[in-house]
Amino acid sequence: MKMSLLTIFMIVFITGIVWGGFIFFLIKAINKERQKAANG
Amino acid sequence: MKHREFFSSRWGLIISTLGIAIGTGNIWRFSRVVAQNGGGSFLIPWVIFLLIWSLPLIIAEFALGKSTRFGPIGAIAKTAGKKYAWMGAFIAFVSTAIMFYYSVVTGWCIKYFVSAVFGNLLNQTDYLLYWNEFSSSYSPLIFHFIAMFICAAIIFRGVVNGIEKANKVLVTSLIIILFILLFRAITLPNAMEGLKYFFTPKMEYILDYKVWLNALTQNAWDTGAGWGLILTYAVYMKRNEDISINASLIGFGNNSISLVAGITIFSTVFALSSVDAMNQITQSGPANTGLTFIYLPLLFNNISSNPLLNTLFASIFFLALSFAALSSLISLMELTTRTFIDFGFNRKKAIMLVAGIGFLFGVPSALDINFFTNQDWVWGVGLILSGAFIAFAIIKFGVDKFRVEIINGEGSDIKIGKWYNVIIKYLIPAQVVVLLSWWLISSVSWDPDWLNPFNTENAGTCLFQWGVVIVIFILLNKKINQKLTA
Repeated sequence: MKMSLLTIFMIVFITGIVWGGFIFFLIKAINKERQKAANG
Repeated sequence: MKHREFFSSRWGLIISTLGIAIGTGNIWRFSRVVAQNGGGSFLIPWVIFLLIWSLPLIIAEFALGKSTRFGPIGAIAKTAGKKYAWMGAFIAFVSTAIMFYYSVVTGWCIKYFVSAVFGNLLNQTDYLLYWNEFSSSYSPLIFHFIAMFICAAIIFRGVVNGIEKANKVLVTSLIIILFILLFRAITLPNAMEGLKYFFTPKMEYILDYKVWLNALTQNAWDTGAGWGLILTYAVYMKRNEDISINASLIGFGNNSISLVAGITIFSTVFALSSVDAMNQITQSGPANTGLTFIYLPLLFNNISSNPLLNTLFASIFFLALSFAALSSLISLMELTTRTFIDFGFNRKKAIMLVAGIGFLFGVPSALDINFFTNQDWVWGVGLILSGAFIAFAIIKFGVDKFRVEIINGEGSDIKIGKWYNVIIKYLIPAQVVVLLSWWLISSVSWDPDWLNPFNTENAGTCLFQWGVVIVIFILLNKKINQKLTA
């Protein structure tokens, strides 16, 4: 079952923004917490 | 005001706030709305409104709760001025009215979970009949009571020992279960057809304004932005806690879960029912229950040739749904509890009062599906007004001052730029005006009986019920301010 290029683009685009956004901010939050812990 | 309890850590706050946002709306409402609005075509405006409606309002709620240390009424009164306390009362009332019937929904989920575990659910032959028999009996009342009791017991234990600990279990388990179901769904034969429908955009739908408006209401509904719930949890965040990153995690996290649930449901529906998949998924059924309570149990019966495995998957699906509903119901009850605390009640008395009132006012929705549908309609649309009142409070306070002094103030990990001013000042009000105008104009043109306040789902019943509540709160505005704990 083949997917069109448009569908593949949409999968990458939508999941990229939504899941990508979540992972981006999660990493940022983890780094900030690490910094805070290191600074006491 | 005395204030002692705070979430134990950033992760405690985030997971509890995610519990607000992740509810049954992500699992059953999202899939149905995507199917009704052209699959992939819907996802584009859905992502855009995440950025220009949900995220700015989630940031606003975090900032209001953290800075004022009050629930919605006190927060709006302190930010916009005392003469606007009635707006905060309206926000609190809308979420409380939703709590009355959401407890009934939570009860339905628990009932289906129990039925699935004991094998009754998958033994059925006619799921519509099964649903009708259940919903027209007194059983929903019992499960409504159970849902209220569980959440009241959790809130009774306080913010850290109750709300935070419960959400750590509920939200974490929910995410694990959803990923197990996702893996099973995408490995079913023909699941790719579901994925193709879910992600492929169609031009005629993208150009349809209704798709855009549905994308906005879906965002308003399932992220919890503008409800006053995130504001309530933010009352318990520490002074040195960040706002912007936490808010972004809630917005993106909530929509990430919606995507997981959507992929799971579309893959399952297309894999197991290629002929009438679209007919079934778009049919609302009574009180929009069609997909979840009538069609999905049928699909779980066909997920494999092993009845035990089918029971297992049906059980964990309804367990996930129950967890999602419970974590949201906890926040709805906490908002009302917080409001009572702001008026001088102690937590324990406030919770008992909220549980009692919540059970009592939920009874009509538990026993009458038309009453339930009416309340779901009136207060679901009312959330748009709640979001507008939050934006109004910030505009009244001064958007730039709010951004610089509160959002970017103590504890902020990243600074929010001036783009935020433009969204709160212009884009949110524009979205509210366009959405409500469209809704009224289309109601007038389609429904000759649009002004009748006693219809189940029309403009008249909303205008009437909102009007009564707003007039009462405006008349009580002075008293509300007097009683609010200094």
